[in-house]
Amino acid sequence: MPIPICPFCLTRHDFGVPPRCNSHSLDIPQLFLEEYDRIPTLWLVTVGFKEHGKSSYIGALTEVLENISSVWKTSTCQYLDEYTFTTVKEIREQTVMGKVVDPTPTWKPREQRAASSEVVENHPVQPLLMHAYEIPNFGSCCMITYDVAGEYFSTPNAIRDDGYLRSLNAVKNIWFFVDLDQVFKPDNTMNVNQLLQVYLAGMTRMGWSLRNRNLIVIYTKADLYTNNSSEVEERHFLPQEVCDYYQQDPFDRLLQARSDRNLRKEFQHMEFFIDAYLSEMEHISSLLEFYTRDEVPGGQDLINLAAQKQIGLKFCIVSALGTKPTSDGVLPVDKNPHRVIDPFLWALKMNKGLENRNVKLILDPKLFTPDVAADRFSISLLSEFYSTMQSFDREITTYFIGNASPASIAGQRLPNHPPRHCGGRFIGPILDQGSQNDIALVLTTDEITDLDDYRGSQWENHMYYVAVAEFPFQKWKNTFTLRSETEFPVFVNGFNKILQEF
Amino acid sequence: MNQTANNSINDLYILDDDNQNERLCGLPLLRIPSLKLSLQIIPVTKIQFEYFLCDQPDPDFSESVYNEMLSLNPRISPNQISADNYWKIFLTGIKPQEAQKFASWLGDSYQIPTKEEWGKIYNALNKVKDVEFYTRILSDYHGPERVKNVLIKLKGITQNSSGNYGLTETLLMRNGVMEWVARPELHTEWGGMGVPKFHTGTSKPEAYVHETPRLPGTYRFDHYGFRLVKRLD
Repeated sequence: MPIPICPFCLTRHDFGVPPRCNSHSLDIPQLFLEEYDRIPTLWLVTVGFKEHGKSSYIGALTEVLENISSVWKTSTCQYLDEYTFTTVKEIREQTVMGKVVDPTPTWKPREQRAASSEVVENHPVQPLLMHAYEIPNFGSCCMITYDVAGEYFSTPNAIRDDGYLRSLNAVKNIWFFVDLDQVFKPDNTMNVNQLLQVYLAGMTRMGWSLRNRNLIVIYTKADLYTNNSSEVEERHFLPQEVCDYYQQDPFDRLLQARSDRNLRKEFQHMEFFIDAYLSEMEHISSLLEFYTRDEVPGGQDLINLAAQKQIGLKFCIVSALGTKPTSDGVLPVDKNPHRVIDPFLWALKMNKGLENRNVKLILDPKLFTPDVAADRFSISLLSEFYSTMQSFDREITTYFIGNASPASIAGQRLPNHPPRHCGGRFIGPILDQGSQNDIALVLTTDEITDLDDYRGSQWENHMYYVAVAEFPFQKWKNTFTLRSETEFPVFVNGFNKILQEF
Repeated sequence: MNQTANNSINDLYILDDDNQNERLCGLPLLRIPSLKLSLQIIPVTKIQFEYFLCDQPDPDFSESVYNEMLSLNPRISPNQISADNYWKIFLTGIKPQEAQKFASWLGDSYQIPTKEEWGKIYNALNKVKDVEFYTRILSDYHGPERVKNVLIKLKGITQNSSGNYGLTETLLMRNGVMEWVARPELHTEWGGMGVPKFHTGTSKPEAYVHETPRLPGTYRFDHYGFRLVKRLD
């Protein structure tokens, strides 16, 4: 089993007994470790201005997931630690009492807030950890959600490397919360594109790659824009089709049926077809993209900027409360959330393209012989390269040519010597074990017998062939010839770019 | 699907994945209930043998030993398979004792068939035709992509052969390689059966060749490969 990525410091390390992240002084949930191999992770971060509904949404989503078995009989969820349980409970209590949720604290975990008002510098944002089991089409997932305080998006300089956000590099799925009510206010000074720019500027400042991130724009408090509210200018209303979609949420009605006998009778034979639901979500996303471009301040720029940066972009609408609180933060009627599941399903759908892209590092045992090492190659350089690769959130497994058993698995050190025997110059038994999304990097000092078997296969694009020699031995699409040790940094830079972009 | 009169294909044989034995590389076995055995659908390929070499690296199978085998019948990739060279995908030049090591690796009950078993299998399959044989295997195939490519190529090649010899042609018991068989009844322990593509001109085209090569444990023969049977209780 690979060593898991720690959800707190996002590195791989020994967790000890009981499992703990020493750098953040936090316990690692036992269930997270036990099921890491079986349940893929879904890393999420909330991005949005202050009070745009991030925490309220998380409260609503967790409530939906807790009741999900009323929609999908075999689905369920589980909180993995006390912090998540307490935070969700806290958010929920506030909404049950009819109050809007307190904003996320910027400086420390919620649980420590009451104990001290002292600002703790460099304390990282602590994720909410939750398993969602047996979601149709997607299976189970371990949601690791960073609910980042809105203050961090107030100005382009607000995102800084002060430790709070340091762990977010690996999080590729972004829930981008936009409260249309705030955006359309005449005195509003920040538009949606500026929010994206703040986020991107922060990422760039911290040296993080922007590609292969998924942006799910969530228009919150949608109830205001789907009713004929006198407070909203007519031109800001959402398209009628989107309004109808919002109002006729079969998911919410099924959930309501859980506590409503009459509804239960009505829905007892109703099935929830996820494929149809996902198609509808896709259509609504397209409509909202038009709406964003035409109506939302900064919308056209946001769409252009996302395309420019090759960021996946989808839109959805939700209402976590279904009604507008009064000026003192109290709900006038019972909450009535709508389409709360959509951002979660979008995250699952878009994450599918990102998961399981792991690296097979396949080494020629001859690289470890003194003559090759002295001439063209240095194992210490390779170790350095190996450490760099590990920072790209990939599971790196090391093999030797001719031996199908891994020499080291994710999280372990690079082996310092090859196995005693290798069975020939074959890589097939190693490549055939992999998923179609894997990347292979082969460093070889001689011909590989079965290389031709992979011409025309997916490996033609995913395998990188490094000939440690004066000339390459075989033709291969992605080849690098490493003639001397001085060329190694060039190769490393090139390959790191590939890893970033993959 | 053509078949012999009074016999359904399912009565004659069943495709069996040996409890998803991964070492079979996705190639099913053909179980013949009447003979109480299963056999590999094609002779052992070089790709399968390379899995063995990489799984249990063994000083007895050094790079030079395998290269010696390859020098007798060079390796081709699945993409290169054609009607003129397909036998190069199969491992030949192997000694029977080496084939036995491969059999042990595949599982306890895998063995080189006896001459008698091979003959019975041949006779059982010779008059059975199943033009959908490879199609059915491919429709339920879960092994490595390159082995799938081998099956696709062999499907095309065997469909274009004469078709007079039923499944023995489909399974390349004819027009494949000479296959090692055990001959416990003789002092010489090993023999060969088959109608290999390497050596044409057999006087009785409807019959298979059986030979007893000299010093099988010493020399490597370019046209000698093997397929294994799994005896059922």
